[in-house]
Amino acid sequence: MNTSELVKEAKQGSTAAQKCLFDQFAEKMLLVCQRYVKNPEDAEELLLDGFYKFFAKISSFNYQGDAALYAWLKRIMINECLMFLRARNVFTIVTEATAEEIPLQEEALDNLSAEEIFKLIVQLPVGYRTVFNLYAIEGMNHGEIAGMLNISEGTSRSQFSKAKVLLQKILLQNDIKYVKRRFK
Amino acid sequence: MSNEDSNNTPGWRNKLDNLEHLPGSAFNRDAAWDKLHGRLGGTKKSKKISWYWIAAACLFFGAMITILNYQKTTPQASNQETVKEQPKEVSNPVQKIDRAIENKNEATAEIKNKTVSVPDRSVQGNRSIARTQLVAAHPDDPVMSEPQRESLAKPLQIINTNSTSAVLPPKKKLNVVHINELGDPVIETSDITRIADMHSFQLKFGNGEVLSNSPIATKSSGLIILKTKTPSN
Repeated sequence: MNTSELVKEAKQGSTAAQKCLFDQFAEKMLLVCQRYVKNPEDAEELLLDGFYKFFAKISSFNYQGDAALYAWLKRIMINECLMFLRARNVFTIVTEATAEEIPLQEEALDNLSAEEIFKLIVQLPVGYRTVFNLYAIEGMNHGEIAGMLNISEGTSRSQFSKAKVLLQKILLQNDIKYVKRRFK
Repeated sequence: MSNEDSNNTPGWRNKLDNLEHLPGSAFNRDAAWDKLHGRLGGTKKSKKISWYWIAAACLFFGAMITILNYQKTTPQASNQETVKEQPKEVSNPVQKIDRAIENKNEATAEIKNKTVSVPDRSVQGNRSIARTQLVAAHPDDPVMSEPQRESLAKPLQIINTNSTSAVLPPKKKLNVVHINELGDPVIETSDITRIADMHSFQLKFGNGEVLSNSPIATKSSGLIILKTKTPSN
């Protein structure tokens, strides 16, 4: 049974179709949640909340391909995570500093594996991490991020630049480790 | 939404998107599904239960409102009935007596208009109800009024009561005497008139002793008892 049929049956309330969709997307979506919320228990709880909303609103979803379904589900998960972070006032202490335009060494990231990139991002503080996720991975601009997080656009920029600086430092440390690992 | 072109997407982002799971993650998919399934099923039940609770609450409030309304209306109605039934309380005792007499007269007037059916066995004596009532009084009774005496002086009428119904005789309306008009209850008007006819006398003895009478009339028999008293002088 393909995804479109699963969606159709899930719209009619089929528990089996809902379970198939859950099995298909749960782990990927858990990774999305863990990129925003570090604590695994919180991330799992947010995953369940996101799927609950997904199944509750699936009747209004118009299936236009697997990519659209994935994007819609991912967006639900990101919104759940942002709501969770907003409820904890994560973004209130963020200082509005002038954004430094530091280019991210994306070549260095390209050399890393997906798991290593994931662990790098998770090491960032929550404010930096959120803006980095939204800008560098989800592809949002600073205006959208500012609207979503109830912060100014300048704050979003500064947070992103600080996140990049911190990532460079971590990459440098890791590079030393990698060099050491290679020569061992 | 995108801040970069999709063609210019860096490789590390694609790598991250294609990441299916972390190697060391302890995510139990079945347990998570059970939780989610319970939540999905539980919400339906809770919705149903909440509707039941709302319906029960509506019924309860409706019942309470009707009970309260009933309790409010019932005492008011009963009070109104009692007010209608009971005459106005009068502070003056004379008026009370008047009212009681009037009520009694009204009651007798009602009885007068009614036809009382009497069983044949009780009618066999050819005696009317009026006779039994009139015999109870004595014609020589001083308390009795003139109309009563006249009615007693008349011979008893024999009423044919062979028929199954008997008509109650009309009761005569008694004269209403107010308490204020009676004055001092000890001295009655009838006694005063009799005492006025009596004469007082004195007896003088040779030794200077004087005896005088004091007429006393009894209420019931009208006899005069004379008592002699010795004056203190």
